[in-house]
Amino acid sequence: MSHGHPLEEVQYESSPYAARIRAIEALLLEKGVLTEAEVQDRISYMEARSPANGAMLVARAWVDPEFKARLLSDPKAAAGELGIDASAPVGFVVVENTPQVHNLIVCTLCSCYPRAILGRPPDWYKSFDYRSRAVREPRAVLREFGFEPPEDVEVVVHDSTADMRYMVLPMRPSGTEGMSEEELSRLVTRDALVGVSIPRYEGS
Amino acid sequence: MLGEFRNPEDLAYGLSGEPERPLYKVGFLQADVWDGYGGPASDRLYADLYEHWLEHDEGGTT
Repeated sequence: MSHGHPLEEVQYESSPYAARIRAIEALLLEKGVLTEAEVQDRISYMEARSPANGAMLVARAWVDPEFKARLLSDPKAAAGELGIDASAPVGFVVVENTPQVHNLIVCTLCSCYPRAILGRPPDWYKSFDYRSRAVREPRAVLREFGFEPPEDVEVVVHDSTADMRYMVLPMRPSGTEGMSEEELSRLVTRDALVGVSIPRYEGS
Repeated sequence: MLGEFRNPEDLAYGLSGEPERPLYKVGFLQADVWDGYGGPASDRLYADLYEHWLEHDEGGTT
């Protein structure tokens, strides 16, 4: 799905980490710390979340300025309006791209990501390469993802080192004025929500 | 100021993390952080930092 990303790390099913986590899971089940159903519930919870949630929030913000204001001032409540459960105990912050500012999200410490909204982060987001270079040379990273903000656009990097989770509200591409919310949401990719890319509309 | 949260250093050791610590969003100009930063002078970097991770600036210009 995400093949072709420049910073993709290949993950093998047979990695020692996968074997270790399966062993830990088996032990937790055996000792009664967790039940099979709890593990399955948690997996279902994560799999029910996807970048489509973020795309839905963005598309609504593009067509409804009042919703956009609420999305920026109280993102959890705004997500709730669209039936997205953002009640996880961490904070949720939405940062807006403008003609002057392009935002990029990274977690240099680990892989903090708005999982409660967008599901699991892509593998490259967790790579040492992305985590170190996104803060040190964000424009080089953006270029590798195929996006070059002009020099007069400020690139603003948000390092989510603690309890806040960040999502980018990208700019609506030109030429999309007649599109429905549904059509607009299909332009919003996961990469655009992290800020390594922007929504593109070929017809523009 | 982003809010108050339980201290992650305590949580990592299975402690309560209480009392909650203030968390700030601290902004830097990239050019001040990195020698030879390759982008425009206006590019910025924000990091979320707990109050107890910060030190008083004694008037230095770094």
